Amino acid sequence: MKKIKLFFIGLKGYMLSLITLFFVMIAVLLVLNYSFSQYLFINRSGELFGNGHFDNGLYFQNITPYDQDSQIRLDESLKSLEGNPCVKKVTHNINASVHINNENYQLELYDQEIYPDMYGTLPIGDWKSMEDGKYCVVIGGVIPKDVPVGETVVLKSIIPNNSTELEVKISGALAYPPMILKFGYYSSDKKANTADKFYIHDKVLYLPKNDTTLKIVTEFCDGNTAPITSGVVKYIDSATEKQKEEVKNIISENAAVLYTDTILESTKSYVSDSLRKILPTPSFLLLVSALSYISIAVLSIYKKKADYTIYYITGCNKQTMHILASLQVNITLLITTITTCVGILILKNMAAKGMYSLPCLIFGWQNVVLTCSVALVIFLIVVFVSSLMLRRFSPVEQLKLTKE
Amino acid sequence: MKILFLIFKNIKYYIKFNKAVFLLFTTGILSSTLALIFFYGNINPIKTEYINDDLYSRQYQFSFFPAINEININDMFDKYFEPEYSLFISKIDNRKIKNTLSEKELTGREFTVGYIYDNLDRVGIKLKGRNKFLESEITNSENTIIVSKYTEYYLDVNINPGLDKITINDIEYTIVGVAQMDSDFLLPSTTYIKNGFETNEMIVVAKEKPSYYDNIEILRLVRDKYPNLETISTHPYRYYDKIQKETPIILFLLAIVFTAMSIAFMFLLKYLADNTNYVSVIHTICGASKETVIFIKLMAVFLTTLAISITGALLHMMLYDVLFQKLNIVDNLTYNFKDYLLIVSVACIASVIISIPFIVSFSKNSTITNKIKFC
Repeated sequence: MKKIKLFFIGLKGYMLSLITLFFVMIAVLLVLNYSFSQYLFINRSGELFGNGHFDNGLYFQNITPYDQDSQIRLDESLKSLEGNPCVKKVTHNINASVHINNENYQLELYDQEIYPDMYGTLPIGDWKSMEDGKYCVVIGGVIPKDVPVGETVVLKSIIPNNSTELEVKISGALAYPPMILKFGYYSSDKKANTADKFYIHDKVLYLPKNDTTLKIVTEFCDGNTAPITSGVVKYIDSATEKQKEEVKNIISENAAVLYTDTILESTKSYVSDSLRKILPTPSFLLLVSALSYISIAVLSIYKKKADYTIYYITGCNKQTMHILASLQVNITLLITTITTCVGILILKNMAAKGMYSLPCLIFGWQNVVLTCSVALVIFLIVVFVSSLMLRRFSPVEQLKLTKE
Repeated sequence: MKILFLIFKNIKYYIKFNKAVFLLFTTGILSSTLALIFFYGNINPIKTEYINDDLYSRQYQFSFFPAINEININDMFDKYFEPEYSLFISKIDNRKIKNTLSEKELTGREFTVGYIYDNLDRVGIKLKGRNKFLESEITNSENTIIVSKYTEYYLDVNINPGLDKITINDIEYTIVGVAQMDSDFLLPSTTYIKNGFETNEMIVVAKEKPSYYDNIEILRLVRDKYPNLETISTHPYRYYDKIQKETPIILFLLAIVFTAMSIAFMFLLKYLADNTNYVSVIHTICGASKETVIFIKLMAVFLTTLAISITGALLHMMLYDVLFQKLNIVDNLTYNFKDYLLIVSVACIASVIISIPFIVSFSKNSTITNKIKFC
């Protein structure tokens, strides 16, 4: 009780500086977490693209999709690859917009050899093709624990007067973050073609790809699915450089092309480079705010040096003195850390629910760990500096100073 | 002179009263200055635009009226940069084009016929046939032509390269390709000159961006050499010149950032000022007016911040290659004297403004009250 009373006495005259510190530190921690979340997104997209076995392939993008002739020619060249011995398959997005109980989703056909490996083990359920005579879907963009796995839902087209419906069973849910593979980016600067450009946040229903599901998706789109403007041509393992070059020449007539290995390499260097580019800004801010905390702690000790001498004389032990010396600052730091962590978790929860999209950002437990680590480091420095200062205000030292 | 002496004496009292607090204040302002230099360079659109080196920031576009016969670009730019490529464009009336490809009537529209100088790889994206002229076509000034995709669309025709022809100025050209490019039609350079096209527009792209002052020289040179120069649609520092007008806003925002960063350190200064107020009381007793005392105190803050921020700027300058350049988000970022001067000014002005409430509190009391309180 006495300690609490002393704490509140200590707060007197420091409220303004502590409130300032609180807001400055909140801003700094938010900048730090924003930068770190960008890094997490880049890193995760690199992992996903790597897991998807997209290596040894050719990425293509029609850069004049509005030109009908050019699209027709691209379709023809893709068709001509069907019998090509060095081409294993062509992967591209095929989707339709559907709704379940007025909630919009992208119904996306997935390649069963790529997607399960790309996303890894699901937090709930599994990748299944069919169960009880119904197609199975994996849901993404919602909190996994909220997904009624094992239940049947009806998908309806969002197009007015389109009565297409499909009863599907939910077999599993993707974990947060809802990173959905979406081809369609191309830059003439090869280094700019990195994996993070191919992932978006969206609500998705993954349906296994086969001839029947392709027909269903086409029906959901009123008989016309979007043209194949981009995708990946996957080569067989034994394809020679000459064969790869031949395929490249065919596609490059009507689209911009890039080897997927180049994308993977660019992503790797981008991941390592991104930390270097992302961290300096919050580091500068952290350095200044850490110094601010130390300043306020030191100032508090200097202003209350007479009080500490009295505490000492009246029998207050060293441990209590040390706690009291930096308590105001550390309590502010604690409140700031808790506020930031709670804010991050709320943001994460809202994004996971699909309430809003956080493009190119991932908020996770890593942010909480980072925030707490930074706070811990500042806390230790403040405690260390406070103890150093406090040693100078022992009654003996005070007496020496008075005599001087 | 006396006031200046008193200002320095005031600073000396700050240091003498508590070296540790003053050291902490110095470290805080120093780190805030270094952070301010970092933000000024890395998140300031004026700085990033200045060093921007993409294709558009290396491009010049000149329009001439009346059109000119011949331009020797080597003569003009050699001293300043090596051109990556140049595009010369002639504007022609739709009546001078005979559309034998479709029945579409060409009215109310000007067409552009151009040629690319030196770097033939820069024609545009090939869509049909060729997007390059053969060496023989250039040396023999053959009447071959590449049509832009937009023009093919406008003419409402599906062009067959090698077979289709088009007539411009009563000369028939064989279409060798369709490409996505800036000009409606493209000719081999020799054909363009042989057939007497006059240039209305010239686009020159430099291999390396010229310096700001070289750019001013280049623009002056072109204006002098071509009195019929109508407009300069773009040049490497066009956007930079435009956003430079926003400098006060950016400096104001940086001052806010600096204030937020250094406000905690101003509490240290308040502590030093409060505990050396007895000096100011003596000044007042000796006849100094309240305004003079406040001026001395504010100048002490100003000069202290000035000394610290200049140290910060010098430190940044000296350690730039070794340390600070590696921390930059923006590549090839450079700081000049003017930048440091602006940063130091922002830091000093912001410090003085923040310290006003701390220092003015002293002047609220009468001399007697201050004497009782501080002496």
